[in-house]
Amino acid sequence: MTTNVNNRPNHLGDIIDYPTIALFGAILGFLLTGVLYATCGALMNAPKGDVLSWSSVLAGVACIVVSVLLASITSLYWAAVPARHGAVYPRLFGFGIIIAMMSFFSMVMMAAELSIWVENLIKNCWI
Amino acid sequence: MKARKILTLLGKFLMIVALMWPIPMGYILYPLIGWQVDMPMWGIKPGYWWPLLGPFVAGLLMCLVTRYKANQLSYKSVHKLQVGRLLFKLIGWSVLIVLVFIVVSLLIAGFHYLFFTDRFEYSAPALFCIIALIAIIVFGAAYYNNYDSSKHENLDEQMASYREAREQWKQKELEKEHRLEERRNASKQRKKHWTNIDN
Repeated sequence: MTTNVNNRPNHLGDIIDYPTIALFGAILGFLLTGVLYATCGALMNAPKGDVLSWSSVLAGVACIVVSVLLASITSLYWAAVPARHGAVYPRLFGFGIIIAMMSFFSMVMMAAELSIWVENLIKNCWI
Repeated sequence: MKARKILTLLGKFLMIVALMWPIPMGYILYPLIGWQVDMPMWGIKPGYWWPLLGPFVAGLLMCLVTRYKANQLSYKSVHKLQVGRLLFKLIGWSVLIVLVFIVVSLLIAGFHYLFFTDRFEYSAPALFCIIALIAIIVFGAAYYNNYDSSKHENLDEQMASYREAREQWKQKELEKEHRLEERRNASKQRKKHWTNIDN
């Protein structure tokens, strides 16, 4: 982050709004689930005599792809919509952490279901 | 303007609700009524997650359509946090973690099959021979192409030329900015001139 040239009035450049912080939580939920599923999940689901389960790796990567899509939406939103309405107070992270955590756990649930669904889909298509 | 602000806030509210909806739905409503109504948890068919996309997209569109622009302070005049750059950096690192994990586990598996088998007396010399063969081929190719190592040692000169090109580019950008500024000032002057005459 560079220094703000125009940050008046009331440090408007530092504010963040609730949808952005909820999207942050959602992205982190999908990302964490995807990484864990593609690494530890792939180890645990490995068939006998094999190191990795490639369908688990792909399922985890699907979750990471969803997080990339969400990050693109967040970038679009952040670039186009001003943050001054529905702003988080105290500034920056403040009480928005509750919203972020709720969105995080929601999206961890969704990502777990998505990854299991994708893994079954790959297995059924493969055979 | 007030209606616009309310619509923006409504759009933001819809987005937040859509993002947090799986918590009440997954922990409260689904266990309560999921067995009564045939509600699939996941799949292509409309399940409990499917209606989430509607409010989310609607909220995003409402925010985009009613984007609020104050007279005193345009959103463009405020330097914002670089959210996109931060997020994509994070995602890049996690993809790297997955790739490194896969590579390391495959390497371990490969070395396991290579060295911890009962054919170790063949596999280890074979690996050594393969490496020696690759080295011989690479050296032969370099000899054939008249490889000159001194060409790759003048890094300082390369850096100097890079810096020079960068300075030139910077100068060009500054000139462009200056020209734009002049044009803007001229436009302002013209505007002032005509408004003065009108008054």
